[in-house]
Amino acid sequence: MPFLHKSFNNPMREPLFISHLAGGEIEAMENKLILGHSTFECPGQEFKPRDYIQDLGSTANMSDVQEATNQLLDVNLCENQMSIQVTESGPRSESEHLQVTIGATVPTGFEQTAADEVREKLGSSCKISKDRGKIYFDISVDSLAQVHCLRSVDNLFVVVQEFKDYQFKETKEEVLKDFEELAGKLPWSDPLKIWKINTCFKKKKTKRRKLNPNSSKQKIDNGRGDTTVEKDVKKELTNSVSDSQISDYYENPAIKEQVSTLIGDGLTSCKDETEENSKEEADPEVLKFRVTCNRAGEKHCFSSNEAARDFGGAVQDYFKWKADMTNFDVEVLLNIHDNEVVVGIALTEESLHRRNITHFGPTTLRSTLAYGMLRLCAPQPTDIIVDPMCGTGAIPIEGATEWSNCYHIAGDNNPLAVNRAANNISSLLTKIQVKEGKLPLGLPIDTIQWDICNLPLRTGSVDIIVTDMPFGKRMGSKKRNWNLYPACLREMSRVCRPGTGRAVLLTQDKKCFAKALSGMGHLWRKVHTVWVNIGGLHAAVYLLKRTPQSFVHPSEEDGERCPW
Amino acid sequence: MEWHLQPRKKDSKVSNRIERDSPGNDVERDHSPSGSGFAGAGSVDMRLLTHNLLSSHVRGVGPRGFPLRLQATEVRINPVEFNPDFIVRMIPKVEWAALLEAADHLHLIQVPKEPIQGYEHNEEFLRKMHHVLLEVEVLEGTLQCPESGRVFPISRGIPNMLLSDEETET
Repeated sequence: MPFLHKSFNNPMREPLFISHLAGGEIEAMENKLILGHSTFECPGQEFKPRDYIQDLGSTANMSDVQEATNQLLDVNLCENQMSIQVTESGPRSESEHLQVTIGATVPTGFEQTAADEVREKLGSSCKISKDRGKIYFDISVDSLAQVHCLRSVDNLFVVVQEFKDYQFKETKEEVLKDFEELAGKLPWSDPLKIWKINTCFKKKKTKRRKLNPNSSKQKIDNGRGDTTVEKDVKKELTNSVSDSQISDYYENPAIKEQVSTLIGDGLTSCKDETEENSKEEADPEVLKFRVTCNRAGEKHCFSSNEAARDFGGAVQDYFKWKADMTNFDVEVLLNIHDNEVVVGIALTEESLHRRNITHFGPTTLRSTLAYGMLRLCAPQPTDIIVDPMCGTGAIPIEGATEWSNCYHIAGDNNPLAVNRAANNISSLLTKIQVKEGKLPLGLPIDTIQWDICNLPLRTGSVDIIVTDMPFGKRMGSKKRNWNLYPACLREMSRVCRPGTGRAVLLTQDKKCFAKALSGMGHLWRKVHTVWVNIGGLHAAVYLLKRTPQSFVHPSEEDGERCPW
Repeated sequence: MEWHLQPRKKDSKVSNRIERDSPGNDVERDHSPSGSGFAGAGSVDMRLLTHNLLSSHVRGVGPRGFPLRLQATEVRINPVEFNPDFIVRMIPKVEWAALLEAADHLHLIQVPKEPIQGYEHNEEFLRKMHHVLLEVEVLEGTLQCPESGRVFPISRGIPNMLLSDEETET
């Protein structure tokens, strides 16, 4: 199965009806958003607070396609056009049934998974860009909030204009001149409206953050890492639930009700601050911006810096905005991939991919990738899903929040890892508690310390195994993998339910994996491979199906475990 | 349920007795967070559903290593959202005898000897099973291999199932 293929935009650009969206997503816990006098439902979490995590060592667990977007994430306020007009002045009341094209960066290799999620949750079909790691889809502005609910997406932007076959001139000077002239010709107004809607909460939170400098404290995991947490939690409990400091501090969980509380509060205070907002927003001179250019392709005669500089200069002249590379309101994106040029405005400040994790380890997997891997194995209700090398628990935590009708077990042999995983789960629950002002319900996830080669699990009791196997680079070694991988695969085949069980395994050590798998055709069948990029390393995600054959224990007297 | 975000005291309550007559009654609960490793609300602790999946992997023991004998010195009740469909589907997957034994060791409510007839529609039964499988959490205790006698500790809600090098060698 090719990992890149196109599906087409919906040319009709039909407005999405809320009831249509909500129908597929109603679950026991419904998330109701109150906007003005109407309600609609968000299938997942909406709020993605700032990530204040100190990453202990994984310098670039990011897709190589996405660039500088380390900013604050916003709650997406979306005006429901069907509601009675709220009493606000200025640009917001003009919002119509805007149709917009949204671009999203996703982990490379999981474009199709992300497209599936978009179709499932938003009803839109996606176009998958040749520029790897990006998908595009059309929505009506009503659905903007739901877009932030997507779990397979790292960053979001609204498309200003797309050029499928941009004709670059011969010389650098001419090309750059074209970019300069382009700035004034683009259809900015609708995308900027979207951006404004999107940033409604941002201004409110910025003000609050200035009052609460502690909210930006980073958490350092020293193996315990909790004194910080305890202190902050105590402190925050004394503040009001709507304090954005709390929401900023913790990662966003997927327990749904807390989102509505936050949005409800945010809305109220947003209305209160309308005058300030519209004063600031109505006055464009105050806006600060930057241009980020991603360029890929061999035939370009210019660099991304040059393009950003000249395009940015023209944008500045056109809007009379102020250029500020670090402290900006608007981030204009100029994405160039061969002859495909897309101009966009960023909607997310900081990547959503570390949302669940507060306690990092050396090789923490980003949540969007964890989501993609889980989705690949199509979890069914009550499936037992095990991550036998869970590290900080990124995968099972994502699983427990998004597939809460399954049962998740996170295990690792390293006590530090197990502790971190448990801490991350705690943090998630504490955050919900703080937001809701009451104790949250438990998540369907347990943690165990164990050895993957000797799992203390009943034979055939596990439905799905999802894990990030040691690459042998930052963790373990290639040599060690030689023995580890076959032992892992064997033990996994024992605990995995014959016939229906499946495994989704991420590894960079593809050679060793292939060799380990080769001797196990009677137990595992490789169904699909997704090629991904993890921090610059070319890795693969393998989807394996467990054959119907029962696992035969080697003779119990025979202690020798032959790896092959 | 009140929550006290204090570091766990050394002489924390030992509560072996958790009783619940029917859903909704007050239950005696252990409030203390499970040690300095956790921030507070709802730490991860071993549930009986997990116990039902665990089996001893001591060398030579095989299927006789199931079920592990559960003893608890500290237990907590942590409410989980009731999803009847989940319970209905999970019941066939549960090793009932093991569940009975574990529930008994924790002095929980009487679990029926087997799933009752027509359990799919019996909400009271389903709620009871939901409580037993998902809401009772062991914070401190032990799991013992019935065949070899090897004891695995549960500490701060996390069972440590690692065997020593000697135990894994021939």
